[in-house]
Amino acid sequence: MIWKTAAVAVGEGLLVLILPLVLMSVINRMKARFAGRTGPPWLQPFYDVIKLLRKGSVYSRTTTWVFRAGPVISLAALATAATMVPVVSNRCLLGFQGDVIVVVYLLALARMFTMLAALDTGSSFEGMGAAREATFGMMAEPALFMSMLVLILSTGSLQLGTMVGAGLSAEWATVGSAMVLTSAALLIVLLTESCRIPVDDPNTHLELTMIHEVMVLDHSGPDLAFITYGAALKFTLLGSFLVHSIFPHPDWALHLLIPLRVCEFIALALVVGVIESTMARLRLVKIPQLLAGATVLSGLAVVLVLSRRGA
Amino acid sequence: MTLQSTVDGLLVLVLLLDLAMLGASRLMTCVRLFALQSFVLALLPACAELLHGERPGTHAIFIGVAAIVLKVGVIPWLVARIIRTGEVHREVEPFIGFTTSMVLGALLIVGSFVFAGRLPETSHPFSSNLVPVALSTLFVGLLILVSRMKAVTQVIGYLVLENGIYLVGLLLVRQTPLLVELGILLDVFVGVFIMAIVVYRIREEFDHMDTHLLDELKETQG
Amino acid sequence: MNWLLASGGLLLAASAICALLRRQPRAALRLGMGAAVGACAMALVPALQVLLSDAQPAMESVELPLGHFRLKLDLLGAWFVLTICITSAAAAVHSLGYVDPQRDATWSYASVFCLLLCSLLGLVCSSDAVLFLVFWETMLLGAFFLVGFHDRDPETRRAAWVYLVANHIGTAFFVLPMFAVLWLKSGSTRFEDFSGFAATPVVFLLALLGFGTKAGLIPLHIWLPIAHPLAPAPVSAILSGVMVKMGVYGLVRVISWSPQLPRWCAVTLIVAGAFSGLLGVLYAVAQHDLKRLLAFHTVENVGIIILGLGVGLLGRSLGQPVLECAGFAGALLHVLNHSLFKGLLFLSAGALIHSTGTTMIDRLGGLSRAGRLHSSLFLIGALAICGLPPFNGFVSEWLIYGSLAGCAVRGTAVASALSIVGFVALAAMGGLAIACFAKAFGAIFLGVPRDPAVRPHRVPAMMLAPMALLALLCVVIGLAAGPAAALAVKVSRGMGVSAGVSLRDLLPPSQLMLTGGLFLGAVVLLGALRALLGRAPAGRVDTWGCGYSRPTARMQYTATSFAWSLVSSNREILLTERHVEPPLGVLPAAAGRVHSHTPDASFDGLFAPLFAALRRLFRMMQTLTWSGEPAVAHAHIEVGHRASLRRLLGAVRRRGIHISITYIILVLVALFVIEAVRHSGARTEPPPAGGARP
Repeated sequence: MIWKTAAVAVGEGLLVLILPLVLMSVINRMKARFAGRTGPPWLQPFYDVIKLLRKGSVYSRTTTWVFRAGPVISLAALATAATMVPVVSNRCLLGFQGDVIVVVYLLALARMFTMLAALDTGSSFEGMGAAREATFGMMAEPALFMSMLVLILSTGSLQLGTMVGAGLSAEWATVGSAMVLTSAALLIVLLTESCRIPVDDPNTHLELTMIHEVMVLDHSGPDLAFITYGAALKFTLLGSFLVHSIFPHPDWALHLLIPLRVCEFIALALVVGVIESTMARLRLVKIPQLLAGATVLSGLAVVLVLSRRGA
Repeated sequence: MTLQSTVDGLLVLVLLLDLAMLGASRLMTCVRLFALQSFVLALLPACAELLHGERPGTHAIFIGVAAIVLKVGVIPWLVARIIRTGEVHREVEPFIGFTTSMVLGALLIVGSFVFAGRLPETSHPFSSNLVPVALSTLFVGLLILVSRMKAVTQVIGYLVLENGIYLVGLLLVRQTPLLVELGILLDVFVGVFIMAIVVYRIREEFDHMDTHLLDELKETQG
Repeated sequence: MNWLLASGGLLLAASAICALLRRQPRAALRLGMGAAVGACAMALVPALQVLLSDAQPAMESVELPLGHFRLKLDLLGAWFVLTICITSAAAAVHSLGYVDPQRDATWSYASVFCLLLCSLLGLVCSSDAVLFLVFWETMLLGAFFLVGFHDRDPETRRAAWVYLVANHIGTAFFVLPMFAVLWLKSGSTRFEDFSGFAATPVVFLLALLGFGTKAGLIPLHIWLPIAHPLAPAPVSAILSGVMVKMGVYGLVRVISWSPQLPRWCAVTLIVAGAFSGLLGVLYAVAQHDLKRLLAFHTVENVGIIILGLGVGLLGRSLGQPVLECAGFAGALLHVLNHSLFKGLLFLSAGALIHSTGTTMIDRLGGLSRAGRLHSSLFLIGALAICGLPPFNGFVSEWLIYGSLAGCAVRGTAVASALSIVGFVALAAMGGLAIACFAKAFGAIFLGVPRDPAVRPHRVPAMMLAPMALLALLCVVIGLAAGPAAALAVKVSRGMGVSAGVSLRDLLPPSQLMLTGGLFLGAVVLLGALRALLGRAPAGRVDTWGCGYSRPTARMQYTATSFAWSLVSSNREILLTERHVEPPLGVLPAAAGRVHSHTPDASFDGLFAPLFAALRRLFRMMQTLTWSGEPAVAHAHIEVGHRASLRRLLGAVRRRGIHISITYIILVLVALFVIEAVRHSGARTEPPPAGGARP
């Protein structure tokens, strides 16, 4: 019996490890379709990561140990956060009351070290990217926390495993509009934190339009592999907040639940791909307005949940 | 999705359109959002009757149709005409910045929800969100009126204010005689018509439509 | 208790001897600082005894003509003694390297330092109002002399005076009357007799305003960013790390005397804490001087502590002991945590001054190469102050978050709304702190040096050792979250939380330790993987500049540019002034200049005009009795005030139509609200909505 649960847990863990790159592949192929091309092979992100892991690294004379430690610490923080977020099923490796705050702050730790590694190069490009990342990350925090508050108020619990589980189905029936608003806010936060259009363009390398890409301009080799994988993992973690809030499933059998969840994640990746292909990147001065709008949306959802509770 | 939750959803959509109008930076966007909001509001009397378990009466249908014709068709067309003939820069120029207006609007909405919870319950509205949404639309209309520089946006603010008052009137949809509703709609129409003419005259006379510059009427000769 | 008296005696003796050792500055310094460290170690013994075991609080009592000399070391006092001793000992050792015996009057530094430490220890142990006030006074005077230590600089002298005047206003107008009220009501000056009399609005407000001035709540914080940057670095560490906590201590004592405070007290504390925290960190982002930045961060962290106290009180008024416990425990733990990491950061700033001579962020850069240990220790302090796991700042903020979320879920509508505001404010503060310290650490230690005139020297080990100790404690408390939280819970019992309340129902700190361990394990694993994968690097080259062939150090992003997008989006709150002289012409001969300055709005808008008006009043009184020419108009004081009034009138005149419409609307809304509130009692009235037109 215990071997069975262990095997299932290991299988789920492996699935969570490869899902980020699969989602990146889906997004890229969707964007290619819109552009009229076939797109890269399905396993291209895996090939990229493996190729980078086998290369050597070039370091700048300006950088110190912070530059080398940045990708390692970011990925470690994201991996630790991944143990507390339910991704493909309703359980996670480690769960306790209050872990939602730990997860969000671990994401902030990852962001801090990426910024410091960028500032370590002493170049104006990376500094600019770090400045933008600091500003937009700071503005996305209230939106993320407000959305978390809607989930906390609805389910009364501070543990991610129970927050995004079956307790939300009742919420969709009663205050459906609040959940729609929260999902919209979470989508905007997802697009901001994983640096997708309309906030940032992951394909461009012009200094006027980059945020995340310019911060990692100087990394190479295994460092860049860690960063690429870390960005994909961050997308998956924030995406799982969104997927689990839109589709709250009770504890069905695993062989039904896991494929369903994987399909929902792929659907999310398709939606993000469509958004990236049909929208233009917003002007930088509009992004604070967008994030303020996300905060206002989730604030409105909080007000609706509270008034429903009081009514 | 039950009818009740649909009606709740429509009211939340009205709130979202309020906020969107506060954040919109192009004049035509504001007008279109107003048209959409009026359309949603025109559907509400019929939904109210459905919720009370009966078929929508002639009163509700007539109000809905009149509102659609006037507030979704004629008035936005009038305002769009003002914009096209009058405006060089078709951008909203606010005093207090879009983000600040949106945050203020959100605060007003929260205030309306808090406040509506304290009002006495008399006429049993068909949705518990109706009074807060009505109050917020009112306040947001006032905010648009006060915080924008161009005359056209003040017209739009007045129209949103009217939408809020209409929502409050929905509380009394059975009691209000048809003639009164028609009177209100006519009021709105005439008001906007007069404002259109005045704006056109201002533009002709002064070559701009910023009302805050109207303070400085100076003697140019002598 | 004997240990405490012994340490007090040691400090007084050392202070007296140092005052005599004018001719031997080095000996005076060593004696003074050594005595300080020894006294701290001695005072820690009874404090740890009270905290770790269930020993009864010790008591000493001597009768004096006015009031009693009563010392009592209970749980709360012991916690604050712990806070004082660790940071003061670190600052004392650091002073050995910082204070220069050739240049400064070392004997006065050592003597006053010992006196200050003695009064601090006496303050948290005193159990009598008069004794409390005596120690409070000596603390203020001692700090005055230490803040003005570099008294050849007129700015420093002014800072010392501002410090003294601001704190004395707080004491004279608020703290003294509060104790007077308590004495009148209870008939005695003993702290035990105050319980039960303190739960009145008057006492609470006086305590908030008086102790809030000492703690640095906005808008009473104005002396903080003036005094802390100009004091010597070890003294700044004590000021920020320990002395503002004395204000918090006063507030905590008042709360512990009042078992049932009305709900609005909790509301006031939460609102004041959130407001103070947000504004403090916003101001911090806009600063160019490292020490001023750190001073504003102190304001922010005091806001967090007050927020924690407020949510604890809210939990108490909701009848939820777990929430109350979490809130108070979080606030108390943050008191200790903040003294540790703020002390570390200020001592780093001192080391920075020692090695480079300046704390202006935009002139520094690339110091990580000059001092690797120094930069690592600053990084630990920066990560701890941002509240990032696995350091200690995160543990206390996590407890406060948990309490806020609990109040939001289980509270009434108003309590919910307030906790939500506090929750989001705390989140925003965290994001801003990350931006601020990324800017500070990145601009000072990373990159390349910006100003060739700044040549860093080596930082002596005497300065690095206490910093290392503080950093180690930050890490240890962060990783050992379970025991630390349990200790804080135990101390919160001194504030009235009932025994037997365990945090496990709300937030399990032991699981946090597991997470911390997991994170470190992941770092080690990935680092090993990285080391295995990385062959010898393919070479060291210059930073890729996207095609620029000759990047210079001046092309780096400066700290001001880093913070500019945040500052400019909040320009209405910060009122930053920016002067730009762009380079002129197609091939400019000279570089352009950008200069930005963020005034302290409370000072320029509130207190400076107030003091200017007072000065004019006194001058007027003076001229009334002086037969001669009237006093020369001192326009330079009033220009700021008059100009702003003129600007305001001009703005009103220009926007006349909108102002009048706004006025009409506000009057109508006010009438509306008043009518509705009046009628809300009678449930049969129709709603007086604005649509009653037909």
